[in-house]
Amino acid sequence: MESREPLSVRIKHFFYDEEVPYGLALCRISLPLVLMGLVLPRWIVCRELYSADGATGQLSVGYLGYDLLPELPGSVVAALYTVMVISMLTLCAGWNTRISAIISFATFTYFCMLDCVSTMTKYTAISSHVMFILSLSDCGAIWSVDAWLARRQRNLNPTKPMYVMPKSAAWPRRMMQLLICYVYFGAAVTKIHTPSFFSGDQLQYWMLTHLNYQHPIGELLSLYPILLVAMGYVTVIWEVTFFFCGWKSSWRSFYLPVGILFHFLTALTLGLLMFPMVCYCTYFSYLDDEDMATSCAWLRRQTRRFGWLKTASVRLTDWRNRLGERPEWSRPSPIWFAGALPVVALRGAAFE
Amino acid sequence: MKRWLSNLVIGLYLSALSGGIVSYTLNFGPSCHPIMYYFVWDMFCGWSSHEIRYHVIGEGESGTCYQLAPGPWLRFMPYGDLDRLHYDVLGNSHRKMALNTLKVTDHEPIRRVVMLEEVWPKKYNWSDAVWAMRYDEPKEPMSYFWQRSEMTEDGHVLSAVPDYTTYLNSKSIANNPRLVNDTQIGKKHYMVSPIIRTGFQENTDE
Repeated sequence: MESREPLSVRIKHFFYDEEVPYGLALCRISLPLVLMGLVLPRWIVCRELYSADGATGQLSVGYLGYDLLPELPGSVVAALYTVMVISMLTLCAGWNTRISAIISFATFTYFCMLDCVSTMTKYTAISSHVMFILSLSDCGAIWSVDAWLARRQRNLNPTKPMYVMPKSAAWPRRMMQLLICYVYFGAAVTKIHTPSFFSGDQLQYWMLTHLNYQHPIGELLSLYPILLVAMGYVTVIWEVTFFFCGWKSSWRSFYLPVGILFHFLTALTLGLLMFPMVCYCTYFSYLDDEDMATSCAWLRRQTRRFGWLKTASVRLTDWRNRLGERPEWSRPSPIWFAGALPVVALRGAAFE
Repeated sequence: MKRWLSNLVIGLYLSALSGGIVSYTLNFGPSCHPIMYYFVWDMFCGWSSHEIRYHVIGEGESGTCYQLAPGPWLRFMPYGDLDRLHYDVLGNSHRKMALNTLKVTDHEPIRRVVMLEEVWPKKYNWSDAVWAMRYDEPKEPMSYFWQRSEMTEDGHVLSAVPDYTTYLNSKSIANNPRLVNDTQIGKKHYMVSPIIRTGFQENTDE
């Protein structure tokens, strides 16, 4: 008979089991790329949106009635905004990953709070959470410039074993999973608070609202309120139960695909584009070592099956090998990073 | 030490997330501080039956009207094909846009600056084809214009009123004696049923 471990031991395993941070690395790579769709179009108008020279709309005004954060001059904002963009790119590449994540988190949150009109949304709030968690994690331990430099450095020492995948505690990934559960649960509570949601009125009005991107399917669907009511109930049930059924079990293979489909439908019917993509990035936190091994085995099978995939794989390996071993780059890497940021900031301000 | 710090971070973070959920569920200070925006997940449930667009107009001494928003910069449309000013429900940035435009342009003396709301029922957002599937009569869109606020050339606010949908909501309550009575019943609490409130008893006695 299988003996159940005490709750404290199970919690310890839940948060502190050692694992390779595959999911967090994928999240680290994908989230900044997705957010480029938000931050790059705003770079050319950053003076207007975020500086004292422009027309900011601070989030705090709606809560406290006054501006909480300091507003900087336009040129300083252009420089700081450029630093944020570069930090996101270095976070994606995994160069000085932790400091990149901290800078990205701090500057992104600051700029969002300065402009609740056209920057701050719930998906930017989720993105801030994710960047905060990434800054606490070892997401740069694999598939990153940092990992590449560390690997070359370690290989110089013949007394040490060949490179092994670094492992770290699972708690940052668990925090990200719990964040998603809380977001869905909170969204369900909101819907329960809103009686007109279950009559279909809220969804109908939303589908008829021309504030988001184009969503012609939503316009057509708004003619059938009975469908909207049914979808509303399904959504709330799924959001509440996600907290309990989204974990690794037979249920997960149902709940995560439904989540992917749900967010895809919000793009078609409600005109949400960035929100689904940010959520998809957070879904990577559900990948653990076992899932990754399964996925890699599947990918290898596909590579063998399709010639073009094999060619692409070989080219990628060739390109990586051409970079060679550059152990001398490892030590000055943080200095280059620290030196590059002010230069890039000044160039950005001048260009703006 | 590292484990202790990890425990602290996990504990604080999950407490903050839980606090946001509890706060919103019980309606206990969900808007007490801007930081609550990061812990209250109240997205996508505030859609009204009216579509609103904003206009910031300056009226010169000659009587000529000037469009003062979206501002003297590049046009920026954050989520599709609408200017940024149309997303500012609270009107935080409209005043700044108007003052910036006046600051960088040559113009006659401005008598007053007004912020207008253009409001229409969302059914007029249906395309002609979808409208024809739903209604027999032709589509004849009509907008209401509502003056939200008025200010001087230097930004001094002369008058301000709530938005049009709030006005409609207040009016619909004010025109209904039963709803007016309901607004005077009891106080906000959680544990006592509204049926046994004093005000309600008085009304039923009548």
